[in-house]
Amino acid sequence: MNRERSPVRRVDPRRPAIITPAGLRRIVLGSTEGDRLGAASAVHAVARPVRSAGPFTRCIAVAVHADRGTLDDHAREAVAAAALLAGPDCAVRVAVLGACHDDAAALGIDHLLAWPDFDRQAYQPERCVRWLQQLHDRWHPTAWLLPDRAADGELGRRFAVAGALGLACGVVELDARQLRVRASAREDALRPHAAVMLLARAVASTRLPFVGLGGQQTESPTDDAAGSSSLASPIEDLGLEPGDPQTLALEEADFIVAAGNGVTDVALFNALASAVGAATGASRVAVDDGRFPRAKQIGATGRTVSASGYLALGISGAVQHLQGIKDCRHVIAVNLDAAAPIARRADLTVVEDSTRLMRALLDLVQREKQGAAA
Amino acid sequence: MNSPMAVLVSVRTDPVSARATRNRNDALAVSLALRLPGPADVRLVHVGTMSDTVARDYLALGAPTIDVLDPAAAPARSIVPALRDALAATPLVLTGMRADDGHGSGVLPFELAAAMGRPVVGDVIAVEPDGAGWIVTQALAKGARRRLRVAAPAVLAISAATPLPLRYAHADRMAGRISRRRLPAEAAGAEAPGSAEQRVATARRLKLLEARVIQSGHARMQAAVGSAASGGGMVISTGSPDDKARAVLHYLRRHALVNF
Repeated sequence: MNRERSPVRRVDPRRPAIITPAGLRRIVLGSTEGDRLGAASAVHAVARPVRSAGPFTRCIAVAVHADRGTLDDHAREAVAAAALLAGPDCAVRVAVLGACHDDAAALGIDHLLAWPDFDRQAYQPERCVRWLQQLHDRWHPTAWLLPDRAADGELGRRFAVAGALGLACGVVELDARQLRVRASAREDALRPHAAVMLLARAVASTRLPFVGLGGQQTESPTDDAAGSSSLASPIEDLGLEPGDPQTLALEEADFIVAAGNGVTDVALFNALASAVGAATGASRVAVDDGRFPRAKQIGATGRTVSASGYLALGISGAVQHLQGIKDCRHVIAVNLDAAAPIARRADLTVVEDSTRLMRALLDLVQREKQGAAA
Repeated sequence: MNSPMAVLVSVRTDPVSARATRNRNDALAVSLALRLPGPADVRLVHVGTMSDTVARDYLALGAPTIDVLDPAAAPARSIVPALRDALAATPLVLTGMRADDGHGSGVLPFELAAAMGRPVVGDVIAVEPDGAGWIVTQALAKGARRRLRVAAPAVLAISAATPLPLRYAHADRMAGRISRRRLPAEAAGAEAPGSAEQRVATARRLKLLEARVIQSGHARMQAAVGSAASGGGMVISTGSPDDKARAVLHYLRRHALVNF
């Protein structure tokens, strides 16, 4: 429903304010310049000290797959756990499968070794295990930490089995001396550290009070002919097809475009979603009004999505909806109201009418696609 | 003993009622095995103790026999050598992704494959026979599917997201055969590495691993209140709709969310 401008002027309780060089907070009525939140911007990031400058006699290693050139939250938690467990004489070494453009020092990494031309689409578990074994022989780490999810979990299990190393999967709590795994529905098991530990989510906090040395290197593992040919015969890769966003379950989708109260043109919305290659979802208001089926509702009562990208069109961002997009990585909000709660959650907020922006974005996307095809 | 495929099944203890039931992932693996064309000579194998109720629950899926192998040694011993000997002549071994009891680590398919010298493929949702081998479909993250041609013999770990219905037929439940055998003591493997552990009650609230930082009261308050210095991100309010659309597309491209 289109709310007309009511005659009473709506005052933004959190007016944008800037901090003057004298340190005073200054609000200029009517201006949009400055930071809208409280005293947050006054707290500048304090330069964090280096955790340990060396000399290093031991090291603790982390192996992760990179997600589109960066480490995602679960991987960062594994790196932070390694940094927190490492003592002053222990270096934190991270092996990344894929290119990594992150700031290694800020994540607490002392030495980062990336494999930039790692092809995620190819089926090459044995090659990855062999690379990790080479690194294990080179570095002799006291422990390997990996995040326990899809590709990393399988790599950790294969590596531990191939090297006959002790393995602890699904570690939910980690300490300097012991770790905790879920043994059954009623019991946990406490045991000392294993040589390979696969960590569940939220084991370590990524807010580190220190930085690492931040050395970065790249390497392409050499594929010796004997190793690759003997393993080429049992399994042959017939190709990977990415999921079709329109038929996928919302929980699995990678990029979601969601419609809220501000979206009236559903045909345009669907056209935009299919042009961009995204799955469609809706907030409770849009579903209750009948524009979308209940299966597409995202929020506390609806589905919880964990997409990498979430484009929220005309969604105000009530708490229940934000619960549904808690795990989404990049959130872009399009809303006429710059003070909507979703602006606090979104990485990019565009103050614009949803219909006009959808049309402009659809035209732009179609032009780009034609330009690329031509 | 010479059936073309075997499925490893496990017991699940219901967390609320503490009753022993069948594991859903293993049941999906059994259903997938029963749907493969060819003789329905599917053999279910369990190493450990399994009551008749749970065994019959698995037989109710339509499987003809289930073998329950009771290890004579202590339960802390590794069961991989016993399984390896029992399944040496079976070209296709199916398992679930992880068991519910016994840590649920999901490492048995890989250990078994390494002991038997076979390739192992995980997250399988579909299997079609292809000559002597099989074409398996793997379910990867974000709905992607990968197809692989696997030559015999092999170990396949079936994903919990396999879209198959689970049946429960009383006639099959009664008609199936449970065969119980005791394993010789020397068939057990080395001490399982988890034997140095200590069992405690499940902890709901877990302690986060974080750095102990000495902060002033003001800094601790700011951190607890969540001052969200990075909250909000960038706000674009000026410009035409085209400029804003360009900004949105630039953001999507920069973070590789679209592929054109």
